[in-house]
Amino acid sequence: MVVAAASSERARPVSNNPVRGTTLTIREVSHRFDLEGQPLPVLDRISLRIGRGEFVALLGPSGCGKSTLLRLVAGLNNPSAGSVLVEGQEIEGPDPSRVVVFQDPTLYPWRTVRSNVALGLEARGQLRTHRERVEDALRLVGLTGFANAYRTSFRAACRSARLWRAHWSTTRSC
Amino acid sequence: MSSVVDEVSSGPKPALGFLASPAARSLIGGLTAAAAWLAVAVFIAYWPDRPESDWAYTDDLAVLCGALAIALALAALAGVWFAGLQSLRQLGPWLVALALFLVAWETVTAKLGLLPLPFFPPPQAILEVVIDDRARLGACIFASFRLLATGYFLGAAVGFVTGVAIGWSRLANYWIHPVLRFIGPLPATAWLPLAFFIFPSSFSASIFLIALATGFPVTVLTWSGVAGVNSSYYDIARTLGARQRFLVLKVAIPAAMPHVFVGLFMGLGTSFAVLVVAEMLGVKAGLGWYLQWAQGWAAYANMYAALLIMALLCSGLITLLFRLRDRLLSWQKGLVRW
Repeated sequence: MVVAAASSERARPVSNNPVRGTTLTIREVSHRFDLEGQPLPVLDRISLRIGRGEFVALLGPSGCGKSTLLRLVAGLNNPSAGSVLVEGQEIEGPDPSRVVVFQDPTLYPWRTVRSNVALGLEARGQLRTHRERVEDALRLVGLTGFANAYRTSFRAACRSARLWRAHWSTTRSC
Repeated sequence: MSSVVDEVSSGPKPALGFLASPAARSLIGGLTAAAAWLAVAVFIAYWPDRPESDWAYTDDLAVLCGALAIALALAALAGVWFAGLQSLRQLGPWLVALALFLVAWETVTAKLGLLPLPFFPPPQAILEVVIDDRARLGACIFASFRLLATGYFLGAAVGFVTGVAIGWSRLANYWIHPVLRFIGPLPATAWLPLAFFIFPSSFSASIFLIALATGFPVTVLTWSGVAGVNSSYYDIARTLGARQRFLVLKVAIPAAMPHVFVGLFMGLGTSFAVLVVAEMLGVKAGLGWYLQWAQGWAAYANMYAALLIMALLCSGLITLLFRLRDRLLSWQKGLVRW
């Protein structure tokens, strides 16, 4: 499963419009990877417009480029051609407002469940001021008892911790 | 858990039940070892040395063995009440084997004189060296340790930073990697002649050599660790808003630590070798120098004493590094078996 959550960390809150979120425009995007010197085309002139608050699912067979498109939206790669716009602004790189919950098990094995959940806050230097949100998240998913466990000793915690790590990046206040 | 089972099953015969419990087995094992060492003490004290020999410390050796026997007996008795001491039980067979070895050594040297002197001194001769020459030995241990610690930490620190740099930066990799490939495989001892005339003192030359020997494996393994980090670890941190600094310090380095420790172990091993060679050739203090000096005077007992101390120190340092690794990399528990 690949999920991209687009939300409004940057967007101005619009008082007369109850729908939160942002707009995403993918315009004529092509992308190719460099495979041992040979170009491997993956995306060919993809265009897509996602409005505020819309929920979009990408479906397709394995290897058709869903994850590649998401990596471009996340800002992890730059498209070979075309542009990806958020609120009409071309994206320049990864940003906490566009988070990916990755497919592979990607919890850091050297961190406990708690500090994996805290990763996003720590990366943005907000851990000191928002520490309680980590404990809230652990309590919400019932992982308080496993907060000091490592990935190697507790597999089931992985998925939830990963989801919550992403969650803290997309919600502004809670 | 087995003790519970024992207590239940041995209800009618409590005496046998106690004998089968872990506490009793550790008591028996400890007392066996104590008895073995007491026998060694008696053997050394009451079988006189060869008539023409004049070993001054035979009685002291016997007293030492006796003291060890008493200590073992006390530990075994204390083990009945303190479960922590029961883990010493697994040392029992080794303690008995060492007692047998000491008896055999004592027999073929001091008691019967079957092995030629001065090449094969009896154990009391080594005890004599450790006691009579303790001032010089202490100074040598201090000198060796200072040299090793300075060189090792310097080499490990520089190696670690270099390794991270070439693992992380393309530019650093371009410039440093070929140098490393070219110079790294050269044994540090090959630099000996050069180092001793470039550096102002033999002390600084030895530090350079030890640092070099330590630095190479630490650099290569840190680099391979950093270069081998799963790239999705970086993707996660980047999507969460991490900057370059965070990626290096909180992602690349922790992920590379298991490799770094392999490098630190390899570096420690080679640094011992370089330490001894450097001390034999240039430095006028330290255990390597003591070895050379003792051999020059055909003082083989001194040589064995220095070797024994060296073995204890080196294995002690390796153990220390293992402890540090287990502490820092506790998250790897269950994944690593070395």
